[in-house]
Amino acid sequence: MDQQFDPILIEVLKNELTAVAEEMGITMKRTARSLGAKEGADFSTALVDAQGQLIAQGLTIGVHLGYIMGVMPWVLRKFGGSLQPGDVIVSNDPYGGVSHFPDIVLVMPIFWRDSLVGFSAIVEHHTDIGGRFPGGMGIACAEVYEEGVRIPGVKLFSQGKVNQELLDLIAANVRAPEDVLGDLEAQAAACRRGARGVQDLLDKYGLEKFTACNVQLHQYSERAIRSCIAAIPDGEYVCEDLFEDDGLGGPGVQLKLTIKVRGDSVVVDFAGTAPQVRSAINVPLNLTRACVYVAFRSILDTDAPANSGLVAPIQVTAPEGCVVNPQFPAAVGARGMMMWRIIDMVFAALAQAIPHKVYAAGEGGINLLVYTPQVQEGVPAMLLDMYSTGWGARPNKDGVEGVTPMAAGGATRSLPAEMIERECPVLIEGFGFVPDTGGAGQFRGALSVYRKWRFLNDGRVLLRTCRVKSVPYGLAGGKDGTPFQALLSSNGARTELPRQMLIDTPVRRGEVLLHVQPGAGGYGYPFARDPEMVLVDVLDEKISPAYAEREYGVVIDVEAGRVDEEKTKLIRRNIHPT
Amino acid sequence: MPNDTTLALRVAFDIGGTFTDVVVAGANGRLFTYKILTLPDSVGADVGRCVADALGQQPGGHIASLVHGTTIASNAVLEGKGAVTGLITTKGFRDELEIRRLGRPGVYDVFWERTPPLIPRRRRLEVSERMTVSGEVDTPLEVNDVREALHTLRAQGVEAIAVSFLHSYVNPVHERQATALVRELLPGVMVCASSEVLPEIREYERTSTTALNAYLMPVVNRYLDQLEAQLRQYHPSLLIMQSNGGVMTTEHARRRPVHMIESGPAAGVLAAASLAREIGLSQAVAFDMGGTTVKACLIENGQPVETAEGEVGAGINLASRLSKGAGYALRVPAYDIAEVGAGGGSLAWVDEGGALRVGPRSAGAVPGPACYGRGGTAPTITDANVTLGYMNPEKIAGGTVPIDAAAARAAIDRDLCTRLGLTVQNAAHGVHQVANATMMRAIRAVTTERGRDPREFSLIAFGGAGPIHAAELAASLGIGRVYVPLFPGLFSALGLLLADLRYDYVQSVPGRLDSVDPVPLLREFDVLAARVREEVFREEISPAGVQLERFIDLRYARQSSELTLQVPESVSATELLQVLAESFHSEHERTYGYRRENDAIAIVSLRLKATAPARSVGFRELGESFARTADEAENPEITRRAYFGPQSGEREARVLSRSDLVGKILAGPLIVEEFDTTVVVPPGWQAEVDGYGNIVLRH
Repeated sequence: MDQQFDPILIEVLKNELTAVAEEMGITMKRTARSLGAKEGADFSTALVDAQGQLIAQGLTIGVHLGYIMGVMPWVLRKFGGSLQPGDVIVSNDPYGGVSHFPDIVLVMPIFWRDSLVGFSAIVEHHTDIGGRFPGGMGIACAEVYEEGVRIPGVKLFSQGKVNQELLDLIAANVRAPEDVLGDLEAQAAACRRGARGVQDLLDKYGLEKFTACNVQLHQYSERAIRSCIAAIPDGEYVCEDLFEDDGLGGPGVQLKLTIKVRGDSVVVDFAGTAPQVRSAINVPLNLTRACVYVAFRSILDTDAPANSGLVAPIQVTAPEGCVVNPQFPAAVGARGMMMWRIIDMVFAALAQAIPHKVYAAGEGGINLLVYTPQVQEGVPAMLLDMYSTGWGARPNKDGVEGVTPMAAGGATRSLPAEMIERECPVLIEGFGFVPDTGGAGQFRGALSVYRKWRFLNDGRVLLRTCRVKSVPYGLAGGKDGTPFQALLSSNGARTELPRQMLIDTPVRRGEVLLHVQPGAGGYGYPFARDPEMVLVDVLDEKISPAYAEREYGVVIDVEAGRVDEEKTKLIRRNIHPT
Repeated sequence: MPNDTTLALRVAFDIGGTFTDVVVAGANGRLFTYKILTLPDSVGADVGRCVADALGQQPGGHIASLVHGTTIASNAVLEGKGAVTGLITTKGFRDELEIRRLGRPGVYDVFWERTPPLIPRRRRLEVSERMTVSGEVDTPLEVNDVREALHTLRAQGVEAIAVSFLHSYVNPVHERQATALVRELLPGVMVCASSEVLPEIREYERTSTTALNAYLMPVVNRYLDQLEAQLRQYHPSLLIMQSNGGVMTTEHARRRPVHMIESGPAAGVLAAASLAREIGLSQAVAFDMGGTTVKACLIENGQPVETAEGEVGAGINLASRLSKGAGYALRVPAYDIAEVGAGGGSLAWVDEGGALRVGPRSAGAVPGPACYGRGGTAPTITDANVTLGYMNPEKIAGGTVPIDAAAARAAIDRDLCTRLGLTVQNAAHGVHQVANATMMRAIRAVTTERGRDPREFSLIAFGGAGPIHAAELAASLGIGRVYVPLFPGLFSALGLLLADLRYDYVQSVPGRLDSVDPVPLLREFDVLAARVREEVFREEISPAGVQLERFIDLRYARQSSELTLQVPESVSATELLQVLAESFHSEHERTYGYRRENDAIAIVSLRLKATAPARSVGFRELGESFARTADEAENPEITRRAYFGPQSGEREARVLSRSDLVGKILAGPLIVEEFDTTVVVPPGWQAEVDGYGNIVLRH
């Protein structure tokens, strides 16, 4: 059907659909039980049409976009015409379109005047999902059977009636049943809110107009992204990287991607990437796709709505059985580190094509701690604490520091110390910048952000860092960032923990853990940095005078609070004679 | 002997960036209104001249009150013109004000820049001290650290200091010690502690609010010194509008300037709420459209809905209410006003996907819309409204602003028509519709996002541009009735005359509803009430006139967001817990669609709202006064061609004044032209004037 493009109705419906998806998110945040959802907003909401195409997304986690698109074909295949009003499907199956077990998707069919018109969907990262490792993100698993409860796309609600047996089964298998069950309820409430919002829109516009508009919105987003891709010079851009290690302390894992830009479409191919490994760092194909989508979305100038049209011109291929397209039953629980790396690699490859729009590497992705205090009885008050450092430097600006990675989306927040301490036996001893870190450059990378916990119970800690052997890279002469560090202090004695992506260690009451995340990469030659910017950093104690002189060739007269122009000129001339 | 009350004049003035509105309420609903240019150094004296003029017209009158709404605080934040401020905080938390919980708005923008921290790192200093979550001292306060920090801050010339320690909302003793040291060692420096400003859990939000307060204290104090000096000859005391629609004494404003950040917009909302109450509307949306933004606030049961989850300094937020972190967190009671960047001056443009967009960029006052002829060439919402025939094509504002309709059409033709493949008229109508869609987001943010159906509400439209869009906007939201009050362009200043004195107190009381002892719980309210009496005494307001309302914040155990419920006056301690539990379950179900009877309910905090009613202007009085002065002469019938979209097409619309509507019900299309606004009554709508002087539009 040839639909006439209606620029006005497009804008109206785009706002309305986005508002519905946002309302779902607000319902979730306000009613959830886990710290991660209610304080950290680690979830995403979406609306889907009857064919499983994404029509709108709430503003939340970037990569989550892919999970909902991934799970829909499975839902349609399995339940097809048998869905009833009030049904809610639940799945966390990485081999059914989702990501790893802690990410649970709920999908609710939306009916209007007795016919299926679409779906509301929400994905949330849950506190725990059972299995060998608290949090479900352990690295030392070889098969998904070790990773917790696999929920393969089943009904959580049938015609509005909750499947209590399923909930009982989940509750009996997870370490934080209150969090998980309470959050599932909140997710279902969000889905119902989304369904109601879509029904209201249908009451207003009718099905024919609504459908036509969605087709147009899809075309609109596709056109927008195509015009952005067309602005990238045709060609093949390759990025190769040796990923930290195989997850078991073995050799690094070869990663390769080739971005083939032709006209207004693009193929991202992972040929040349190493086979899947016997640890849990494998990335399911659906998530690999999502990483590519979100990286493209981040650097392209469009705020077109997030729907399936936005990814239509982007094709992602990966050899079967490789580490970014593993075959069942390979474990995937600890896929997070490689997920972030894929995003960095897309950026790095695109830097060759559109250098003015690509920035140096950030900390490498969201880092986290899972603390499971020992309990005599009942369930432990687990802490899933997530945080990051900030962005790499940009071609014309410093990296933003103390912020979530670009691809994480806009709603994720760190957890307040006071809320954590109310719910878990831990004291947050600090959360802030580490001076003299990050990569120097004409524009510098974000300083490292540290986080420090004092444990008030014996227990077990899992600590994730996305970059442990590699450091965040600099660009265009900017220096690389700075490495991570984890120190455990016990009665004054400090132990440096091993350089592993996932540290699994027992902790004792009173011990203090310090996690220094990697600092971000710089952009451009450090000696080209405006001395006044160096001065500001020195006065703010973000860098020391000695660092200023060493890295930037800028001498600061600390007493006077100004740049010593003469000495600075001398140093800068001697090192980079002009 | 003349009766004092009949000759008492009440003065309200709303100081904005460009104009200052002055409204003086005299006897029998008589209003004197003034619109003067804002000149920062003499604004008090200029307001004084308006007051003198009003006094001159009411011989024997005297000034009974001076109420003031101001953007001084929000402008100081937006323009970074607050005091040189320092922060003293718990060891390990120096960077919290800069990291802002890692938050950022919008998902994707590589070149995004965050607003610089209110207090730079060099003035954010840590001291050794720590409380636990239960308020026990984990690490005692190291007094020498405080001394050293003060030494460093003095060297940097600070004018104000914020003190914020972890868990001070439970145990403020360390903050009190540190504040006392500041007062002792740096006597000229203003200081405030987080446990006084906002004794609530969540360290970033509490610290940020406290930092804002400190940042504003010197600015607001200087401002009030000058203003009070310039106005003292008319009245000895001044009242200041707060973000929550109450007024406070200047003494309170000097200590808690953070409460006046939304002082300006709050007054308009308050006026709308008062109007709603007086005419018996239980549910309404206040819709205020000015030159650069649209503001919307929900009014339920005659009361504006409040929030304490604000952010300031982020610019206009078109993005999600979920994603924050661009500006500075601000958690004080404020009207829940949603704001989007679509005002008369908002620019229309075509994006790379070929879609028509409006705002958030604005042509502002300079260069302004193309039709103002002040140098603007890009098309704006106002240009579209002129092109469509809604606005007078020759002059507005009583003839003070000439309009160049050809320039408006040319701008639309050049920038929009070719790319959209539309005629000038259709493109202008498109701009109008897209603007409406953007404005709808503001209204949705305060209705559907809060689980309220806009169709059950009436719209109260004011501000210079609001009444042009109100009817169509209402139609697309399913709202059937629109009120355009008297003085729509001065409505905020009018709101200042309607405010009560108001103070809010909050106390965190963590606990569970099923295990708390209701007797001491109720006693906590008495403790708060004692604080009220202390403040009231200090501010010399008769305690007899003070009304207290008790609220409690509840949530399901392990949720993070609370619902605020009123604690009924009559409830006994024995019934209290059950009554609260039941009303919480119902409110949760109403708001979020489900209840969990078996889940424990957690208590978060108690709130006490103290209000002292001020004598107010009545809309009935205003309406009667309007009716008396309404022009009864039949004006010659004037019409203008205006375009109302593809269905209604171009129509001959009658152009008339508010007075022309008195005693009649006329069907659209009509255009009501007033000094400070234009009211569009599209086909399918009818208009009349009610007993309060409102133009009422019905679908």
